[in-house]
Amino acid sequence: MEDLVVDGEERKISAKIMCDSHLFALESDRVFGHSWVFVAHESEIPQAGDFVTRHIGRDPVIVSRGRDGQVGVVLNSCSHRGSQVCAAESGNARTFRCPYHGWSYRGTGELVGVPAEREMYGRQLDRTRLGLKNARVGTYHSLVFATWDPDIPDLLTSLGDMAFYLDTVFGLTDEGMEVLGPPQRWVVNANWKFASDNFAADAYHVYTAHQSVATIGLVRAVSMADAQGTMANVADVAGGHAVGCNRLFEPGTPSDVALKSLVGMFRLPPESVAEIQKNLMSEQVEMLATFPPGVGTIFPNFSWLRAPLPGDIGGAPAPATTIRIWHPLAVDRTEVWSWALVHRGTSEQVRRDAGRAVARTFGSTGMLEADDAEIWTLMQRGLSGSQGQTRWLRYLSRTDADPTWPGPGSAHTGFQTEDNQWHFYRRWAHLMSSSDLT
Amino acid sequence: MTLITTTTRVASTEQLYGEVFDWLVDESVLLDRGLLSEWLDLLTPDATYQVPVRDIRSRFDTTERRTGEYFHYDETRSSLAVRLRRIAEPTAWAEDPRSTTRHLVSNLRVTRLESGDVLAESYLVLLRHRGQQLDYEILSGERRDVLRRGDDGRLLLASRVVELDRSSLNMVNLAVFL
Repeated sequence: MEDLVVDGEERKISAKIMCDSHLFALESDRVFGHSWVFVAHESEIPQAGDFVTRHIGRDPVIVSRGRDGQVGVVLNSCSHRGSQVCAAESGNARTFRCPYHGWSYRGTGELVGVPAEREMYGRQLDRTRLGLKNARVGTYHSLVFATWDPDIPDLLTSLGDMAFYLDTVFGLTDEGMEVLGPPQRWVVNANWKFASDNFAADAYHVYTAHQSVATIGLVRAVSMADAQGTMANVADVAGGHAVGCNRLFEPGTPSDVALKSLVGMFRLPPESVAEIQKNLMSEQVEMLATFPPGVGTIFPNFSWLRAPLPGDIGGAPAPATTIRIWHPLAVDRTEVWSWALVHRGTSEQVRRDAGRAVARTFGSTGMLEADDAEIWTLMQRGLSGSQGQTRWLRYLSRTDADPTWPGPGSAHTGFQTEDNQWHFYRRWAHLMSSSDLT
Repeated sequence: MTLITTTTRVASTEQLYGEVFDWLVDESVLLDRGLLSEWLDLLTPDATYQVPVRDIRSRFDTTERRTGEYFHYDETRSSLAVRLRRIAEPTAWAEDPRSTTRHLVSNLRVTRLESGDVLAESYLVLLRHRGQQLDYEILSGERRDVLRRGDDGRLLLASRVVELDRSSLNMVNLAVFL
């Protein structure tokens, strides 16, 4: 894979990794089989028996809450002949029954029923061997991840430098966050990595791709010159994760003043300031008060965005928080899953405003994201031909890490850099190279 | 969605039914020709416009559905005006070239409401085609519109909810209106 993700004077990646279906098939195992993959938010399945059906890479899984309150993730495929045992997208069930021969399972994967077991098999089957295949489950601030790999480090270790930043988005309040109902889903005819790459803090594209929302005055237009010094891109180099932070307050703003203002922008009650100071480390509070983390990607295909965004021109900003799965359907086809999140305990009005602010900016009809999706399909088409596949995607910008950055990870401050995205592809290449080519 | 069985149902032979159907057909023409500011003029000042997100559950799942608080569109007339202003920009890439669309409306059921408003429930099939792509994008669903007479007697859209048939939209985005 070294010839596909090429370091050197010019960092570049081969267009093949976006277009080659053989590589896509390999990715399914090597990347998605050996990473923590986001599957659900805990608030989607609050009660025992609640479930949602999701994917790890291309494999369908059931994510459910057991009678003990624990979240389980199992392959949605019967141990007898492989049929999916659940065809719904969400619901509540005590057991999942295969429609073919009737084998039944609990959400934990345990096989609990085999019709005519003695008549068919003359004995009781060894049910310990015949459960649904279990995935390892890890949760962080109610974000549920799963992996098939028994050997990769636990979720928190795998999140690496990013846990610090996720705390400042999802871990502000004691009660945490919850989803506003089921996700939007839509299908983009482009490789999933374009989207992960974009949310790995590509601030550069904003000036062209999203010019229209600045021109009409929905968001404040900042010239590229004025943006100098307002951005920080931070990478977890080993993990391929990334976060982008944007300075919201003038330098020198006292931290408590900035935090109070931020809490106002997020429409949290004033007492949240103390709650945040209690729940976060002082370095994290300091970061919120200077460069609040705004967008990020957890390798491979989970992204998030949090910003005070207006739902209307001249309207007060609402706390827009969205989380994403870039679900790989094919090498050139990605299903986007997009949720809106709010802090638990938020008033009805703020919930409404937050949902609207997310949907009007990011998501299927989002005035920013509709353009992103369109452009990713143009990239896919531009690169998919035989000449296109000989070409390179270029990540030319690189800067030295800022040693004064107060948080973990390799931070690049100033304007946008392409280091974050580069590390994302390095992680991809590492995983793609790490198994035998058999 | 409740099936309307009350005596307030308006038969297709009544004049009001024809008036509502003509209204819907004319609205489709505005949407499909990209005459969006004219389309916006069909809305009352306090109009609401919603396309909820749906999820698909088992027929036998009796647990309460979570209340939908998240929509593809959850709009007011003023927020729709913002979207229209954006689409008019030369850098609104999602709609350049403009999608060609056909809003096909059928199976109209009209009901007089006690408030004097008119409930118009109809099926919608949207055919959408984008620039260089080979395939049509197709979306189907049911519209539930409340129409109200303006001061000049014209029918105006006071509210619209579009219940889509699919949870996952087979589209690059939903940058068009339903």
